[in-house]
Amino acid sequence: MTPAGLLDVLGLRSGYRQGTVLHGVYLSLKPGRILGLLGRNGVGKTTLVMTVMGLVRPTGGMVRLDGDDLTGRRPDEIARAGIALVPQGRRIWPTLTVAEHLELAARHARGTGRSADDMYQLLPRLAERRRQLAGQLSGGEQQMLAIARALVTRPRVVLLDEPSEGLAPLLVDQIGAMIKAMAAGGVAVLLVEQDLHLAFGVADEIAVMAKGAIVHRSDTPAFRRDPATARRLLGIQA
Amino acid sequence: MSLIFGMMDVLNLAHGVLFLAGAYTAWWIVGEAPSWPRFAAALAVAGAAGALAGVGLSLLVGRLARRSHLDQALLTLGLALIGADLLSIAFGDDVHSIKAPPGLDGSTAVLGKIYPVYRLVLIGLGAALAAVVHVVVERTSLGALVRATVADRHMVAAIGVDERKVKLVVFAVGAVLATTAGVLGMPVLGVGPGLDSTELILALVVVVIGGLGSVRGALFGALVIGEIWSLGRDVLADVAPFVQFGALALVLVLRPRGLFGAATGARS
Repeated sequence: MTPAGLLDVLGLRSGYRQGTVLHGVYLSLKPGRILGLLGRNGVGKTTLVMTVMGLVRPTGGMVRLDGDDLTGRRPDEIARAGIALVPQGRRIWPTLTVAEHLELAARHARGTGRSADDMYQLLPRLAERRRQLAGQLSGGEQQMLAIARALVTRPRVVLLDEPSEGLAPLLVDQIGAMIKAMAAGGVAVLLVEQDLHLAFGVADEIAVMAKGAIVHRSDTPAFRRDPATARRLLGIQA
Repeated sequence: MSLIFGMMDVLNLAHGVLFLAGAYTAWWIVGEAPSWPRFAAALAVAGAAGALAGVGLSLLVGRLARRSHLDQALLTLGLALIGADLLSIAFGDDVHSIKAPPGLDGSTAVLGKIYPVYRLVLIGLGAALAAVVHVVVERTSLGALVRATVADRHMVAAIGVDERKVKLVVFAVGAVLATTAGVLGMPVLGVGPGLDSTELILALVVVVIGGLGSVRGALFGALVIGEIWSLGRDVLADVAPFVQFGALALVLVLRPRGLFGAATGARS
């Protein structure tokens, strides 16, 4: 396979003490494009995101950002190289205020990052809550904060792991708009999602994972025209 | 004193021996002739030694980062036992004491009782130090980084910060505070074998009462136990040792996660 993207994942393997989870994952992300990653529970989607970010140690294969080998590097080095994470469960810091989140992330951004003020203009709701502790925010506000925290580091690639989890439909649409805006700014996006409405609404391409490997990839309209494949791979009516 | 325990999620059982090392440093430098320059020198030497020890401990414990609390505790306990024995070999098994610096060695009346001036100063210093640490942790950007590391160090790494450096600095500061406390406490407590375990238990009581992982809780617990311990010994001499453990038992029964502890563990 010829790597051609901004982020290239080549035969990536990793896992935990209990066993191997990723059995050789190949995928590539291009600037300004959104790849929706679908798959049943437990197939390794989160492990893939955590391994690319350096939070789970790879046991084989390669992760390349713009040609630079990031395999086995520490998560802080990977972040400074330009990959940002919006993790499953948001993982905001509950004892920090909204402002502290954004200032902390902006201060350690590579180059001159977007400032916290840019984020407040983009997300007026966060501006209103800037002095509030993140632990006291609603689920939707926490998710916006998690996305804003990733964006102020001025990433080239953003990995989003189930950003719609536990949110009302109206908020899911807002999150979708934020993801589209990111890609419009030239960022390459990997969107791991269970919510097909969101994934189909924003993703340019769909990849499906099963048993620790990518088993299908097509552009979103083609995937939607083929309900038999969706049913076979995901066990649902797409 | 309880920064490392509470904030970095590491059971550092070498804390007591750092305190002991500070106390022996005071004995070694100040000795029988207390003076302000000698006290200052003892503080400087103990501080430097504490910073080095903290960095060393952080690096050693860092190698066990993926292991359980018990493994970390056993490592630091082993180092503490070795350290305490080395100090015994160097300074002997006798109990030593030094006088408070000139000008602070008198007594004054508090609520109709005679109370040593140095102890009052020590209580004031403790409160001031707690206030400084509180302001740094709660109000500065450095403090925000420390709080973020406590809450979720992986996400700190994910924004591009080498969280091991944060841990190193907090370890060093915690160790400096421990050795400094050893110097400052010397005129009150004296020094001899066994002081390390007394202080370690006290620090554990403080952290458990305040709530593991809570910065404010650790400071509050330290202040509460400090006051109970210092004033209690003179005002309620007979029951003072039981009051602090009574407080610990009460907190554990009514609020097992401590006064300011989070409802769930911050580790992920």
